[in-house]
Amino acid sequence: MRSLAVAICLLAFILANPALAIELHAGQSWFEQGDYLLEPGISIAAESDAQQSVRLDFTGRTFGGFTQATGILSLNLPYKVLPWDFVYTTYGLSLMDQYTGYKSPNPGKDESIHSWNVGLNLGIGWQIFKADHWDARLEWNSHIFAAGLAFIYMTTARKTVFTAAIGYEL
Amino acid sequence: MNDKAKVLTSILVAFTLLGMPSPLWAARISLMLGPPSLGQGGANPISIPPIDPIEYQFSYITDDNREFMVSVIPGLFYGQRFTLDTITIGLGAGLVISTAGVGLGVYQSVGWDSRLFWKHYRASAEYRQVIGYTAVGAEFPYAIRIGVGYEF
Repeated sequence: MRSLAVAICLLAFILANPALAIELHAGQSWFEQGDYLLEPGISIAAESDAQQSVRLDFTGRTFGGFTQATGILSLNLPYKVLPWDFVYTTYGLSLMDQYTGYKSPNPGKDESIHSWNVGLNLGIGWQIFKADHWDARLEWNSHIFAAGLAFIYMTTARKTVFTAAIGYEL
Repeated sequence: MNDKAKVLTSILVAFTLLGMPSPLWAARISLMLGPPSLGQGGANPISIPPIDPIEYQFSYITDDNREFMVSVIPGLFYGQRFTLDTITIGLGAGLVISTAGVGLGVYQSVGWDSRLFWKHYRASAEYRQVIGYTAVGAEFPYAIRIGVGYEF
């Protein structure tokens, strides 16, 4: 929820600038978290006309007394290196919050924890459709995080997010 | 050598022979080192000393920026590199090798190359992410590696 609040504040800051043209995206995402599973989630993003964007990807599930959720807020900047207009690459910073909560059957024994991490993101996207103010796109984004001090031994963690989204240019 | 190992070795030899470009092409070779992720979870720490063969990756890059990459994990790949300044994006496909066996996959990579030093050498760093399909279904191995390249 804190990630969502930060995302909304950033979005409000961007929207408050009348000189910026904004395109909003929303869609389905699938998280691969190193366990052969593709966990469904949601993706919302705001992109400026300079193709700089802020994106929030979120997935979560409840099983028994446990609730597990992952939210990734990322700042994505374009890197124009591919020769096609409809395929684009991005890079940037990511902020991840992994939440695990346990609702105990015993009163007062509930537990929860937030694990925060900062990393880099790299992505490639394909704009499959564009007409008037609308477009549709598919994206493959990798978020890479250092595994604490073990990073000196090149140990990393990675979240891959696949996204199918529809955008509308305001 | 059992049957599966013979098949895999034959595929490796065939890929190497069929994919080997003409030695007359101006090209670059690079050797990179870094722990891959295989199976579940992220990458393990690099081996000390770095003698684990799964951590190594060898690339042959032609003068028109096509790349033949050979590694134990994530596998054998062929693709096109797109370079702007010192940053390179790579896209391609090939043979995925994982703890679950062999399959087919596609990759995206992003790398950085230093300026030339000692006339022929460049330092390199690369992140490579693969989407593959093996006997256990979809797999997503990745590797962050650093190394050095030699330009002919």
